[in-house]
Amino acid sequence: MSEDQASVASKSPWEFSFQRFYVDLSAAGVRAEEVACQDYEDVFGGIARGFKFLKDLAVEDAYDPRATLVMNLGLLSGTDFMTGLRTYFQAYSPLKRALSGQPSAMWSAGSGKFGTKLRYLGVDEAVFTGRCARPSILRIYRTGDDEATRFEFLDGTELAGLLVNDKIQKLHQRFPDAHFAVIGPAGENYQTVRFAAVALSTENQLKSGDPKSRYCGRGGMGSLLGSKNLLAIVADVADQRATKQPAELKSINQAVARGEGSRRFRDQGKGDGGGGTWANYEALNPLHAMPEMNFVPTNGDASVPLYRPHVEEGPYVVKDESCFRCGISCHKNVYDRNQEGKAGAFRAKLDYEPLNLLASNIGIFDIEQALELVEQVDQLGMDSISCGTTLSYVMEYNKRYPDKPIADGLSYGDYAKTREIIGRLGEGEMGEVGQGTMRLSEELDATSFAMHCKGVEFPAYLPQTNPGYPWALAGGHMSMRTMFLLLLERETDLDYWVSAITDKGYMTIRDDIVGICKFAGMTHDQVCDGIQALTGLEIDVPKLEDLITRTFLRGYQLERENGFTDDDYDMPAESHEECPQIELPYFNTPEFFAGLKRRVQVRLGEMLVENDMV
Amino acid sequence: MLIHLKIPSRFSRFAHGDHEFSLHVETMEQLLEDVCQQNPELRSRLLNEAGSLWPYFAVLHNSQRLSCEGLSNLNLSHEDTIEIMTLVSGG
Ligand code: SF4
Repeated sequence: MSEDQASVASKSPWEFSFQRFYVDLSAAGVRAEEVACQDYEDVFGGIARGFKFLKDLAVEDAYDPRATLVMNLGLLSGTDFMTGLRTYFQAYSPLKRALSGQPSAMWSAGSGKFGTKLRYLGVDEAVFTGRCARPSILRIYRTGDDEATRFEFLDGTELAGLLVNDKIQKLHQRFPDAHFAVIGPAGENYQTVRFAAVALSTENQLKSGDPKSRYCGRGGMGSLLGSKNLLAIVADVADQRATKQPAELKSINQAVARGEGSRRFRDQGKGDGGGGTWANYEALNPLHAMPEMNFVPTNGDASVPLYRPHVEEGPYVVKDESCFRCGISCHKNVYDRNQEGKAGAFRAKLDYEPLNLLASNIGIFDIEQALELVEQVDQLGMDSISCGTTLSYVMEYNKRYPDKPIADGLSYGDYAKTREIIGRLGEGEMGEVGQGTMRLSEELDATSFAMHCKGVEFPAYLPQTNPGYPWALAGGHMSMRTMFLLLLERETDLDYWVSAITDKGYMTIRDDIVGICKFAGMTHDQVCDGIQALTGLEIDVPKLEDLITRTFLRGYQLERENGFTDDDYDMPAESHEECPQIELPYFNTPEFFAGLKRRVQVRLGEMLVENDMV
Repeated sequence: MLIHLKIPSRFSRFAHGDHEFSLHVETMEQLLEDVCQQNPELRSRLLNEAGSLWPYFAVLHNSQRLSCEGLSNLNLSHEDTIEIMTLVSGG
């Protein structure tokens, strides 16, 4: 949305318009369209508009050059709303699919400063189809304030094969005003890696030269960009001078930076912060409620050395750093401790999910090894969740079937071999493993311990404790917020869980409609206030909730229209087995889950009717 | 002495709709015991069988996070605030 649309007056959706650019990669042609908004979906953008747009564009093969890839912003992306930095990639995924084989609609989101630059360029949405004839860079630029936004296709051969940060730093030298979306070697090898990510550059990365990208990890959106032969997108425009913030926004941004919602993600050293997602180690592991060994916790304390306080005892410094103008500073960046006791060489950015899935869950409990693996996966441009969970599947398979090993017999805790396999995986030499857990387990006819739903690997939360996973549209912790419910609320009855999934869990997708980070932890009221202050759109909590519900249902409907049946909403059989070492109630039995599934599916059908969507 | 206690708002449904309490107690143990006695459904959500807070909570004393050591040596004063915060997060 353009700046002049912001106003204190309340505006209806149809008073807004947005800029969509159709980019035909085969023809190297671009067509701009100003679209008059018809509804809230159009105004908000993000996945609300994306799902609407993808409705009739299903493909049989995600890598078909005719497949559509949408890159867009949410309403608050690139605005002065703190954490409003999100860029979305949406498509029929090369990873998520129905049992019948049809690719399914999915999205992935990332922060960094790329989205802000797209906003400055007036690119609300770009729709990519076709395939570049050679490895390419797409530069989007504007030379002066009054100039039109232009697109140019550049030869990307010199970037081919480079790691993520090398690509970004090379581009930065050439386009010093720009920010970047790039793929790593994994995305270039899309045929053999279905879970490649898109990396977005950050200011800190460009200033320091360190590999500090943010990732749109889930669903193989990097593989899709690779299939289109697009190695990098450059958003090249000078920064805009900061404008005076509306008074309401100032107080909202203070709430983002210092309020309750973001507190758990802020640093512990800042008085009342919870320390970020890494603190899950100390929170979950004492109850053996944290994945180890392919989601079957050991009963011991092997993971204790990976707790942040223990890591800080070693030769490391952990610094909380941030994206552009964000006061939450959720990045927990680990550096070697230098001779002065200060931060020396950058090692890796540790969040709970990559650390768990590339260490404890594959039997690695040494922080030095963990840092190497997390960084390696990031640099090759793979989704650390899908990569880690697929590796743990391989290790478990080899443990169970020692007579017919795969991936050179890769086993739990074998750091050297893991590093070698990850390297080969990212370079496209491990086609079997690179298909992800679902396809690999089907191929091997060993699906009961393949930890995914709908082809999307589980994040680092135990499926034994979370029967909500199958209804996540785009990965189990980003799009269905049910992973902590058993731990915190300890409810095990069907009514509770039906409501958890069909009333509340999906509400977490709000931030992927709005364009802000989940870590901001804003209430719906605060989000509505921020939108009003920045755009003048007339919105209140009930309308916002309706929009979220419609978007969730649209995603569910896209699944059902593209090959999903009730059989697709299942969990791996072994996630229903009792695991006595988990010190939480055992309730996700096959019988419980069967009852839950029946009721959730019925309720979703009713919701479609209630929302006039059938 | 009067101590103000704040628990995560999601737990208000186990505490008659409240998540902020003011209680006359002398120690942290008494504080937790009293609030759980008044709101029995809170007990299993806050405390383990040994009566200690679950490890996925952090405690803030007058807005400053306490370490485990700090928690065991905690001396309360009149009108202090204690806040219990959940540590688990993801996204
Ligand atoms: S919360 Fe974290 S990821 Fe989000 S904008 Fe702030 S620093 Fe970036």
